[in-house]
Amino acid sequence: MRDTILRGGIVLDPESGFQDTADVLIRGNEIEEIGRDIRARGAEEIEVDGLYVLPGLIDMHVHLREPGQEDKETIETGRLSAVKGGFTSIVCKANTGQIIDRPEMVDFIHFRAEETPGPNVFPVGAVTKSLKGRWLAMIGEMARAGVVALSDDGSSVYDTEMMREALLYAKRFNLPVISHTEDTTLTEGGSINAGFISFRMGLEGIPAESERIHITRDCLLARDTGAKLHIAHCSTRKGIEEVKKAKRNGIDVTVETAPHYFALNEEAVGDFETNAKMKPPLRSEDDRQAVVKALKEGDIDIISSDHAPHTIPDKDTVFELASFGIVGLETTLSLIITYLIEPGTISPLKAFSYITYKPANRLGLDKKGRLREGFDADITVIDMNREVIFDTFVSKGQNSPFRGKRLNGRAEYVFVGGKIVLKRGELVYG
Amino acid sequence: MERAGKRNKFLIKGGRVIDPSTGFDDRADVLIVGERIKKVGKSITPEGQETIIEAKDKIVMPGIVDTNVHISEPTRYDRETIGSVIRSAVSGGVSAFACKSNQDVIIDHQAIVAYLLRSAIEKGLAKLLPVCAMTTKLKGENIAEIGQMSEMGARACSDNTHSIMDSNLQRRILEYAYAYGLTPILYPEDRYLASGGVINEGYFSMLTGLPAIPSIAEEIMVNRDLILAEMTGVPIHIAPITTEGSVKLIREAKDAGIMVTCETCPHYFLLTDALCKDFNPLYKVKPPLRSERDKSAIMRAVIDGTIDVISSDHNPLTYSDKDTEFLVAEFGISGIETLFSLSYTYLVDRGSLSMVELLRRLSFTPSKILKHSGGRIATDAIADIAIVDIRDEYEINPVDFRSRGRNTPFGGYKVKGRVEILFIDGSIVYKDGKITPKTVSERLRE
Repeated sequence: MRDTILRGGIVLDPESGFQDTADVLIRGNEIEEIGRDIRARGAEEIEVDGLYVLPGLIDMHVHLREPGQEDKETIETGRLSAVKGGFTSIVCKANTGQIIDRPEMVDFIHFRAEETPGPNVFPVGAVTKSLKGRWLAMIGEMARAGVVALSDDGSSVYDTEMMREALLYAKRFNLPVISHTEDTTLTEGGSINAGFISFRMGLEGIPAESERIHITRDCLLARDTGAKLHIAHCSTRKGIEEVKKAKRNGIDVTVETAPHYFALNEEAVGDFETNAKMKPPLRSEDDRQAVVKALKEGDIDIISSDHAPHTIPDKDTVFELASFGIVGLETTLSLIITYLIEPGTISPLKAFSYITYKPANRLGLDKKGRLREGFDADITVIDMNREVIFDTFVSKGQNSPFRGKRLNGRAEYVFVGGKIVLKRGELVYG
Repeated sequence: MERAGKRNKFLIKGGRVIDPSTGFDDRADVLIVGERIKKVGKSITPEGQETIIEAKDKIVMPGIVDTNVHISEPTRYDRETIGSVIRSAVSGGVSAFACKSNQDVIIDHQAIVAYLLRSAIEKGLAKLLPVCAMTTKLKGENIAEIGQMSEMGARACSDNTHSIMDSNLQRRILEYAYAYGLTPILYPEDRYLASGGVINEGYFSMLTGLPAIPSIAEEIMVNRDLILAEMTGVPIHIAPITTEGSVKLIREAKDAGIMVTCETCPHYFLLTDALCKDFNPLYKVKPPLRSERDKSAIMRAVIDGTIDVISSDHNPLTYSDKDTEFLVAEFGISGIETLFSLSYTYLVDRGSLSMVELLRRLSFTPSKILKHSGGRIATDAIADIAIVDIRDEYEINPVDFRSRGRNTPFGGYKVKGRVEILFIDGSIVYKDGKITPKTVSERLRE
């Protein structure tokens, strides 16, 4: 394989804070050198003048749907979607058609993901068998098969004792447990945020407390067990405050949010728009501002897409019956640029830390999330100023409230393990 | 006897009068006419018809109001009847007590509220304040007829130790109870974590090999209930709290302006789980006795006022309920008779708490929570008054209990604060160890 030089780009490494014009030399599957005017005989030169060169982006919350729900998404289409969105590593959740609660399911995901070039796929194992919350899944075996975390995402572990056992058990394998944080008794039947809009529309609401109650519960359990806890898709001011408080008390907890929680508020549900229906629901403007503020101040650790593809019939139905979730792999980067970086709220270095080294550190992903010599050549090159309007997605799921919206910034080049998979914004096959 | 004609008149002279509602703590005379206090002041001159009671060197204080009492009538008369609990109450200086549901009596229907009230009134003596259930059969599934029970006379609602795991149901109950002005009393226990446990989780559960209840089971629920209180804006009462973590959570919530009160019991600031190591079932209570650290945190919280109320959590049990293996013995302590003397001895006599503050925890705040008129010694207040001798020390002897339950771990404890006289509604019901009840006909005539 020929060496590749990315010449003249603005190199950003959020972990070290490095931000300067430099060349990047890729040799094999590693980053060989970063510096000015690199010379390498026979290397392929790619001019990236004015573009940002970043560590490969990492999305730690993706639903790939395979095995079992291949009509919504497959591992292949999900990975292509990830490449299009600039991601070089994705973490897939366990609530597929057949649940990832056994080691062979983990192997299956790995095999499928190695069939074609594209982003690395890191599976998350279920906490409980079939996500039923009654018996622990084969956590030890799955840890050996290579899961990076444990989660019943999509449903909560309602039984407190079960959650405690899971944390204790996960600790032995040094795996973080990702909590879905939903008190299902408060959310049952609900489809949008509880408040004036749910009242006006006559829809059952999901109160913010449903999230807060389980965040506090799981933080207390994490304190009690000493295990690693990660709070998924935090959407409310109170939820963020609870995590902040827990961190102050020395609990090993991290928290993520998704782009729609800083880009939209509950008003996006507008005229019963099912593409704005997700769990947790879009919250109030106050909550949205709290999410932005927390990202600015670093109280939130990670941004992930919560990519949840659905078929058209899943969404083209009565609001209450429509499935929860939106696709996000292809829009996340543009949303971060449009809503956080462009208004000047957050510096690029900080904004990109949420999708590079921070998730890598939390999940213990080796040699990922940084632009540094000797690290994996997972690199994303971004054009920050390029205007994009999403019409269709590479993902099988077309369910997004951002379709047709004018956004800024997209991935131009993506390298995974030194191989180019996205070139001038187009997928490279083979 | 002491009663003079239709309208009783008593003049309590020279006692140290404590009024927790105003913070009054000074030597004064108290004149009682009929059911009420006519006057409190320095040297009231007798008009001639009063029975004069010399209370020099004694404390004159409002009767204790106990927020956490259980009875077993009408199913298990061997454990406790309404008659025995009332006699037990007055011996401990308790003029009113909240009667909660338990496994024997579930107060989930207005007829049961009516039964309790009627039975208590017939007996006279201490006032029974019914606390109705939140859900039918305490099952945590369907909301009980809280409205009807409130109209029948329920003062608060509680599912006793059956905490409601369903957050949405609990929220609806808070909203419903608020509409009827009932204080929701919430028991903080995560039932998943506590399931099957009999002892605090820690060194001593490991040593004894007994199934344990972690302190986190309490803290998780305290946290949830505080969130629900904030969400609904309904004031709640959490009872009882036993751990350092719960104290911290409640302190923070109070600082944040959430309307919450909480209580604990003497055994949580006097005893620890170390006592369970010899498998003595007298130390088996729910929530379990906690660690030394928790014990001192609870003590501090009682002193600094984070804990608003001290209650007895009176759970009278028969000899055979307790004389069995620790694992299968029933939970509970018979505590109504020792509530005041233990609290007085270990808090006031040791100098940690003032008498006024103690009576806020034992009488004034409980009255507010139970929408009861007690807790005051002032003009026109109901004359529920206890006269207490705090000088001589005596030994707690369960055999002397008027309660049918003698299950107390405090037998042999040397305490001070013997109740000498208890007035209820202006009549002496207890004097020098003897109960002087009104007859039914006397009651009915009134």
